[in-house]
Amino acid sequence: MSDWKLHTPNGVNDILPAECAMKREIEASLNAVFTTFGYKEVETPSFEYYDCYIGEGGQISQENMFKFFDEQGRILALRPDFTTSIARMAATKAADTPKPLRYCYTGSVFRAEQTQGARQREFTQSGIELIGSYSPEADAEVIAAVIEAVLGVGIEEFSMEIGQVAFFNGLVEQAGLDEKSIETLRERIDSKDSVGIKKITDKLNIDDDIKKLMIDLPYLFGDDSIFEKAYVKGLNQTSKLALDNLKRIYELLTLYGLDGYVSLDLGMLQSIDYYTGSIFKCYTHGVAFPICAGGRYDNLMGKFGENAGAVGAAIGVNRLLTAMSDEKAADYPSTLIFAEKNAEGIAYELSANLRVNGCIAENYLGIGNYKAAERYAKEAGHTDMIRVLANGKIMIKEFQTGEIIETTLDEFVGYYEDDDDCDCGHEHHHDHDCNCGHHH
Amino acid sequence: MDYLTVALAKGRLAEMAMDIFAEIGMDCLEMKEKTRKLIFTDEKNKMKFILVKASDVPTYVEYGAADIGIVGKDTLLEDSRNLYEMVDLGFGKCKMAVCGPAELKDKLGGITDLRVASKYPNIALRYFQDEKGQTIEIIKLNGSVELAPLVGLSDVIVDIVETGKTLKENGLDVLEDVCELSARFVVNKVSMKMETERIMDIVTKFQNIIRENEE
Repeated sequence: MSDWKLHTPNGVNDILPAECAMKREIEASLNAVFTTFGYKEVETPSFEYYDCYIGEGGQISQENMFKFFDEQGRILALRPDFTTSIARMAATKAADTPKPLRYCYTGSVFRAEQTQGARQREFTQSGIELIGSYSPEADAEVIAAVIEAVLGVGIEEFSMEIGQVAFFNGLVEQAGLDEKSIETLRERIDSKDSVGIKKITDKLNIDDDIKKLMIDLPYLFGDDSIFEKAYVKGLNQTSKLALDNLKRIYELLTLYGLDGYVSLDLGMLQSIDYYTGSIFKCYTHGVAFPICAGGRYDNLMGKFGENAGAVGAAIGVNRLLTAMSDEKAADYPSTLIFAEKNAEGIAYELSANLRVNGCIAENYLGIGNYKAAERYAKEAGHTDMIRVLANGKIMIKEFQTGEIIETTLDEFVGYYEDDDDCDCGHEHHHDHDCNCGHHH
Repeated sequence: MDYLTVALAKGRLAEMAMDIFAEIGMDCLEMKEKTRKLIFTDEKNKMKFILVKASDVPTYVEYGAADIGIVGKDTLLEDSRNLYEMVDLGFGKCKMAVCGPAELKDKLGGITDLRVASKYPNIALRYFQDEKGQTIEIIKLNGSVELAPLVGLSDVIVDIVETGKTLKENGLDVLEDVCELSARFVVNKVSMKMETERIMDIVTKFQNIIRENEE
C-alpha cells in the first residue's frame, strides 16, 4: 500500500516559491488591468448549496462537482466556477447598486475531473463579470479587457476566437431538429466533423443554402470575410440577429484597436445550454488548452430571480503560468543578517529598520560562524549579508561585487532618517533610490 | 517556423497515411524502411512524424504533443477527446458491431442484465445505454474478445468487424451494427488556431486526394 500521507491527490499541486512568485505577479497584473476597466474585486464562498450550481443555466455537470453534506443533510458543493456565485450575489445583494455591475475575482475553483496531467481538480481563475447589459458594447468591453489583461502579463502571440451560439440555434430552429439531433449536430460541428454533419443534413428537408451553411459551419472561421459566407438568403431572424451582433462586436473591437488579436469562429459551439450569445476562447503557443474562456449568459441571472443580460470571462492562471514557463518573477535584493554573540538586539533593530523601508531582511537561524552564514546566504540566493557585532559595528558584504562596507548601526540607520528620496510613504521593494546600502 | 508534429497509429493506418503524405510532397520515405525509430523528420517542410500506439494518438493530439493525428474512428469514439476531426480518410473501413451466437438475433432487448464483453467499454455502454436504453453489464477485455461468449464469460461482444472471418470461425454472427468506422485526420484545437494556414493547407490537400481516389 502506498504511503498516502507523502503524496498529494490527483489533480492538485503544491506551488513552490519561484513559481508562486510568478503566479502572484500574474494575478496582480490581471487584477490591475481589470481594476482599470472599472471592475471591482469581490469574493464569494469556496462552497455553496449544490442547488446554486445546478439546473437550468448550470455550466458544470453534476459529476464534475465535489459534493458533501452539511449537518442538516443538505448538499454542498465546492465552487466549480465563480460566475454562478457572482450571479447569485448580484441578483440577491446588489438590487440598489447602479447597473451595469462590474465585478472581478481571483481564486481557486474545483472540478472533479478525470485527471490526467493537464487537467487539474483545483486551479486558479481570474475573471470578470459585466452584469446588467444586453448590448454588444458589453461583450466587446469584456473581450477587450481580457485581451489587455493577457497582453499585460507579457503574452503577445495569442488568438482570441469569438463565436455566436445563437447563430447555430437559429439554424436548428429553422430545420426543426429535435433535442437529441441538435446535440449530435452540435458535437459534430464543434469537432469539425463534416462527414458526420452531412449524415444529419442529408435527411433534412430544408433550404439548400441552410443545409450548405450547416456543412460549412466548421470552416466558417478566420477574419471578417466569414460574414459574407454566413449571410445567406433564408436565414431566420434568430440567426440574422446573431450575425449582426457578432459583426457589431467585431467592429467595436476594431475601434478598440484590438482586431489584430481577434479571430471569428462560427463553428465554436461549447456549453450552448449556458451561453446565449457571444462565446469566446483565447489560445496561445505552448498551451494545448484555451487560456481563457467566456461568453454571454443572459439566462443565468433569471435563475436567481433577477432578469439581466450578462457577459463574463475567466482566465486560467495556471495555464498562463505554463505559457510563461520560461520567465521568472522579478528578483528583489534581499539581505541575510548575521548576529555575532550578544549582538542579537542590534541585529533585530537593524532588521526592523530595513523592513520598514521595504527591504527583505532575513535573520540567520543556523549554527556556525559568519562564514557558515555567508555560505548559506549565497546558496539561498541573498544578494548581500550584514554581519552585526556586539559593539554596534556592522559589516555589509555585497555578493555580486564582493565589496565590504564597514559602518555602525547608528550611522546606517541615519541614512534613512536623512533620506528624502525615499519618503514616499509607500512600502516598496527598491524601486526607488532609497540609499539603504543595497546596490540595485 | 516551428515543427508540425503528426502522430500516426502504428501499423497499417500509418503506412496508408504515409502514402498520402508522400503524395502531397512530404518526405517520409524513411518511415517505410524497417527501423526501430519512432520519430522521423522532414526538414524541408518542417514536419515531424511520430509512431505511437493507436489508442494513444488522441492523447498526444489533445495535449498538443502532436498537432495532427491519424487514427481510427473506433479509438476516437472510445476515448471522446476534445479534438477537431477534420477528414474522413476513407481507408481502414470496417464497422463496430454487436456479435454473438446466431440464436440471439433480435432477442437482445429481452435479456435482463445482458453481459457484454468488449475492448471498447465506452462505445458498448453508450450504444446499449444511451441509444437503446438497455442496462447492461460490461466486461472489459484486452484481446481475443470472440472467446468470451464461447466460454460463457459474456452473452455477446462489441467489437470491430472487417470481413467477419474470425467471427465465423468461432461460430459467432453479427447481431446488430453499432456504427461505421474508418481512419480519421484529427487536429489539436489550439494548433488549428495558431497554425491555421499550414494545417488547412494539409487538410485541403488530403481532402482533394481522397476525393480523387473515390472518383
